[in-house]
Amino acid sequence: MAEKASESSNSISLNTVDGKIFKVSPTIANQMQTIQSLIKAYDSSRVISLPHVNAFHLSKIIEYLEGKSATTVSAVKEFEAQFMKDLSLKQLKGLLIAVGYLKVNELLELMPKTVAKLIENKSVEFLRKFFGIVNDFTPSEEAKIREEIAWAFDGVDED
Amino acid sequence: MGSHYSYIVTSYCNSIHIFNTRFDLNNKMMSIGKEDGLTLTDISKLPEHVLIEIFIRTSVSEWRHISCVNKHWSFIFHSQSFWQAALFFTYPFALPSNTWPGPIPLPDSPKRFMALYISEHILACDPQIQVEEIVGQTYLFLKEQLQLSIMPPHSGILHGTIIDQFIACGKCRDIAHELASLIWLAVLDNLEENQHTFYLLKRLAQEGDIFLPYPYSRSVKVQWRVFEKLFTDFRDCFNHVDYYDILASAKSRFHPIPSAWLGY
Repeated sequence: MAEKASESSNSISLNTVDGKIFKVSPTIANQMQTIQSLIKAYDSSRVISLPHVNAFHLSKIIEYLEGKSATTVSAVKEFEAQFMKDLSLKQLKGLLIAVGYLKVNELLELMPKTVAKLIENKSVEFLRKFFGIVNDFTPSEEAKIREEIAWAFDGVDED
Repeated sequence: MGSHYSYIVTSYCNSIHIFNTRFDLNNKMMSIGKEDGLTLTDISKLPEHVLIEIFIRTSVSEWRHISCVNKHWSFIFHSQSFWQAALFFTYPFALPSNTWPGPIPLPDSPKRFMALYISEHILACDPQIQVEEIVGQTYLFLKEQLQLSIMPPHSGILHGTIIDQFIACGKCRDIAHELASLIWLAVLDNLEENQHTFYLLKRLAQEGDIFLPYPYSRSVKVQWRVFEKLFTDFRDCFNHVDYYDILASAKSRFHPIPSAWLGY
């Protein structure tokens, strides 16, 4: 993919945190808002370094942006479903951070939708583990806040 | 946030189990997963705008739940940016800056969201046709006013304000009267069963009618509901004197009164 894109003279070079250079077409690059604004700020011949994105995540994002240009609505739907299915949970989380940083609008709709489904009807403990969050409430603060939301624990599946 | 959400606990938990098998709870999410091609990424560092995108896509019954994960998340649920995003995601047809004439003031984003939510879920408007923000807003207004502990306004005045609001918004008199009754009934039905509500209903039952012409006259259905709630749901709260006082005012309004209301 990188070789093919490099043939075009005005392709954009992106350098990931693990030192891989990706050459992408301006159409693809402009769908990442963060890169779009960087291109505007600097000239496009410069290599753009992406401190928060690794090669795997960038290749996934490019795969998505290239793949979703399918012609029919149902083909795009199918592609998106397969794209999300191929990601392990770990990859999903990492990719979400990369997507948030690069501001890829379509993925910022698709991925949160998937995550929202994953955390639906879960306990607070599950959410903390899922997102790797440390509870910073004091025990009394938490007891108070839990008291207020006691009803919300009805019908939660505990895992 | 009101207690209105409590009754809609939804369950969308199919398909999640498939993911859980792949997800070892004890694994360290901050670790370097070479096999996945991950670098040092920590999901807890997700930027706020991504978190908001996730939260607005979960169902409303989850929100209070999500907001007690940690201080940061709880803070997000108090931010205008969350409520604005939720408003435009769930109710894209709501005008960006809705203004209306009339006595009920224009609310901020959290209240606007709640108003639309109430219109849709409690007052059973069809979201496909038009969820009317003003209807939910009036519901919130009435509920708030009724629950004031110091100097609550006379119910006849509240009713008049609601009628004025709907007429100011261009409704005809019949629709205004009908919507006002609908909102009164919905508010009465969604009050919590506690001592405060008992005092409130007792006050409503004993307030004398101000004589006013249609559409400012209050609907019989609403008054009936006040007495019915007192004599059924709140029967145990009565003492002897209270019971006969309320029964007397019921008898002065309704003939005949149902036998279920009788007998202390």
